[in-house]
Amino acid sequence: MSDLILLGIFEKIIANMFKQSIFLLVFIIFSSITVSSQQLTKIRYLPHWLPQAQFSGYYMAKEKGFYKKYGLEVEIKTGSPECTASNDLANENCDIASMFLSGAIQAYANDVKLVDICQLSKKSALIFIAKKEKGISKPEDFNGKKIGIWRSDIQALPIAFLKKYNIDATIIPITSSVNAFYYDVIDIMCVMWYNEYHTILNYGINPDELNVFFLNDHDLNFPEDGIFCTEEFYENNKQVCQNFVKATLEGWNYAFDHEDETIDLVMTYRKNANIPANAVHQRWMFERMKDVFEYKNHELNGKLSNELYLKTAKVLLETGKINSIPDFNKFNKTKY
Amino acid sequence: MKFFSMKNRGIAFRYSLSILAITILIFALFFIVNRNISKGIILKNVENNAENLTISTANKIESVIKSVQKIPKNQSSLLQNFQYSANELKKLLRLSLETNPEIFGSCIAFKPYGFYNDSLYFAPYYYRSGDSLIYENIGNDSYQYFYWDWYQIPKELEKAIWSEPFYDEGGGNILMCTYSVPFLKKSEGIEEFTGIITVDISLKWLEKLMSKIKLFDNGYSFLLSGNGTLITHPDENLVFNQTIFSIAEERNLPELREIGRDMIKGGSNFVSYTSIVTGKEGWIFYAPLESNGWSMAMVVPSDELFCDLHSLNRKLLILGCIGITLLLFLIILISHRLTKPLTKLAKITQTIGSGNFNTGIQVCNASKEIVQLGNSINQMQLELKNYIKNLKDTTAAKEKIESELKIAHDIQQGIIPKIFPPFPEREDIDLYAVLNPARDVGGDLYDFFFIDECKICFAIGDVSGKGVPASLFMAITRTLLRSKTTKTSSAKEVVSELNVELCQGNENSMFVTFFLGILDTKTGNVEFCNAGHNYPYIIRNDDKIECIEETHGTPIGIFEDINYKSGTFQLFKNDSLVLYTDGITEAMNIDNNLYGDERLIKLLNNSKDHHPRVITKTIVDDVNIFVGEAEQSDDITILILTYFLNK
Repeated sequence: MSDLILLGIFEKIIANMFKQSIFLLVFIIFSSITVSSQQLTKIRYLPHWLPQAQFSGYYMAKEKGFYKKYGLEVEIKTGSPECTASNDLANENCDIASMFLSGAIQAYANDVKLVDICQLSKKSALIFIAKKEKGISKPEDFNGKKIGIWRSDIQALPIAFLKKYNIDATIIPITSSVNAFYYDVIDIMCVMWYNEYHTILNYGINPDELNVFFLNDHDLNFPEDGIFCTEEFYENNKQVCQNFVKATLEGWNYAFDHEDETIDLVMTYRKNANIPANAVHQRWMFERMKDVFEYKNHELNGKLSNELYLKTAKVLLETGKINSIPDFNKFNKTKY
Repeated sequence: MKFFSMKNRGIAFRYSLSILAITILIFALFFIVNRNISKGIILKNVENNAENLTISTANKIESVIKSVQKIPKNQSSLLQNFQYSANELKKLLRLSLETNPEIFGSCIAFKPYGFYNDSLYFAPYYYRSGDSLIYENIGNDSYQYFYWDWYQIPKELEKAIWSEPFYDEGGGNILMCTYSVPFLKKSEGIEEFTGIITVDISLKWLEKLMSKIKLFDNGYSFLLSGNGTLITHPDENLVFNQTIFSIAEERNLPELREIGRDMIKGGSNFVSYTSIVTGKEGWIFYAPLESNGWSMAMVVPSDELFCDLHSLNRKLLILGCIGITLLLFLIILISHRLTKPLTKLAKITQTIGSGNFNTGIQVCNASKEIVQLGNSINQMQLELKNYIKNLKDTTAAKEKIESELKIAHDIQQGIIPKIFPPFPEREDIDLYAVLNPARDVGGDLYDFFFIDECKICFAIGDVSGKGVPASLFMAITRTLLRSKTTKTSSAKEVVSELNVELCQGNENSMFVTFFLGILDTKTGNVEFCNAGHNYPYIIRNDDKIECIEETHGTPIGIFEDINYKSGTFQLFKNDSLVLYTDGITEAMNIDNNLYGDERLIKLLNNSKDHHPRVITKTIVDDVNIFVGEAEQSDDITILILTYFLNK
């Protein structure tokens, strides 16, 4: 009988202790969230194009709380063909932006001092496409043709191609769609392999009906997507920049390991932006990003090599887009 | 499978299975042909309905589109010919929206600095918002309309076009399609591009129209833009988001891509199709909308399309199965009735086969063929009965003849001397002979006997022909030989007398080759008469072979008046005289080769033992070896006499 009483007392003590520890745990979690939300640094990030799989890593870093983990509260702004990331950075419409390396070098040389804090892309995905029926099978055939090129800071690269082969053609500035190419308003169009090329296939043109010219194949391999901010912002927020890059790289790694989940998230971003949401197309793009980022063995390298930097800058210099090559060490902050 | 094997099966089974198989085949053919024809008719009707519906819908859309197209075209001609102020342009736009409820918005977008010299953008735009009309100047740095499709494409192509569906954030903030018409102005006598006039249609308007159009309960229709983008579709998620080609890629439907390519090229067709809504098999009819390059499609699910046909087919199948079962039952019944008399006949035939020929067959109420078969078996029974009776008689007669022949054989063998040595008491001669007839009885003969103390008469003969007549003639010859030979007879006298006797009454013209010799055992001299018989051989003591090539006339029994002569030869000590019939030299082997004189001479030449029994056995054995398995063709007779000289 006395044993039973002792057992009852023991049970009550244990139950009280359990209740207290639950209360303590909830208190700790609640207070830590409150503390962390108080400490989060607000960052406005601008992708340089419409929402798509090209920016999966950023979406995933936000979705999975990687930014928060590094003390950041990131607002992912909606890019568009109308916005130029360098202008938005200069005008402080955003803190950090992704853009092409060539665009950032041009901005730096034109006194918008931008620095590269992470160089994701390691090779160019730019291609020229032409319908085979037009008989354009080599660069010389570009002469006298109408060539559609985006009106953005990446123009320098396709222009470098035209200059390399002394091509005399009419340049038609294009906003975003490939309809001008599809309806034969233009003969040739500069597009991204991971994006518009596949869009054209999804307009019913078969791959064997197209001639494709990879800039890569013509010794014009320029790294593209990188993460940039102004030199000033960087100097004042080095740790923030470092954390943003770390979280973004984690976001990309997670995305590459969870393809279906990533595509679903990209689709949500596109639907929210009221732009056509096509999962097949986004998957195609996502797959190509692995190639462009040279993603291997679950690792991403965000470093910018001096060699590729100089190669890109030289082309910009030769095409008259810049007057002098900015100092690599000042421009390159990809140290993480 | 063993069940269906025809081997060792009855007629009823074979008959049933064959008829059943053919019936099922005919039914299956009929079923398939009927189904295919019905399917074809249904599909043709559906194609016609879909075509009519598509064309009438297309006409409806086209009438709206054409009426919409007129508005900017009219405005374009006004702008080309008259100068309007900004306010007048706004009024013009407002008026066009007020008077044309089908359009959502309208814009006049001027080229850069095309309206105001100091302003890059001028694009007055009116659009609907609820019941009111809203005005906006849509051009600004964040919406540089010059580079958008609705402006750029008609400008470059220098013709009016329908844009691809787009979500116009700078404009009406809705999903729309725009009809863009370039307008020109004369400047210093040259017409130059000045801007684009647009009218927008909300896609909701089209969606409403299209949602009303369908065939059957779950049929639906959709519209494709020029680049394959879905403009209307029952699945709203697909509209504007997907092209028919991206759906084909997503769902791995290469055939859908081909349909899409044909649709955007302005093709028209009725083909099988997998629904991208339900995933069910079906059919699609598509045709182009000529005025704007779009394509309209009508989808009909197969299960609804062929619902009635499937129901009909099911009923046909059930009926067919019942019919075939009944037919099978009937066939078994009929075939059993047909084969029943056959089974009965088979049993009767078995009884007849066992020897009972008194089984009468009565076939009544059977088919003509069965009755015929019954009669035939009755007839056969009768014939068999007679045949067996005849066979019994013939066999009895044959057995009798055989028995008589056996007796004759024994008698014939009895009339020639068979005991050897015949003169055991005499040391001057020895003699041995054999006669092997080819049949039971033969026509060969030999004989020997002493006519006095010193003279022994010996003879060998071969009667023409074989069998019983020859054996009788041989018996006569042998009897006459004994009776005509006296102590004083010479060989030629005996042969002449035998000839005369045999010629008399010889109506069958039979004859005998005959050799007769009389040996004087004292001297070894032999007087002989050869009447057409084989030449005898002498094996001399020194093993030399000598042939007595002398004939004294034709065989006996032919010509009565022949006077036979005789010859002589001398036998010395240990000489053997070999007499034989042509059964030896003309013995044939299976290759029809003759034994021949040469082989006989060679054999005699090699004979070291001059004892007559040994020589005879040697010759007979060699002949048997030569003949082998061939049948003995003639009587074989040998007579050998060895002279030892009287001491």
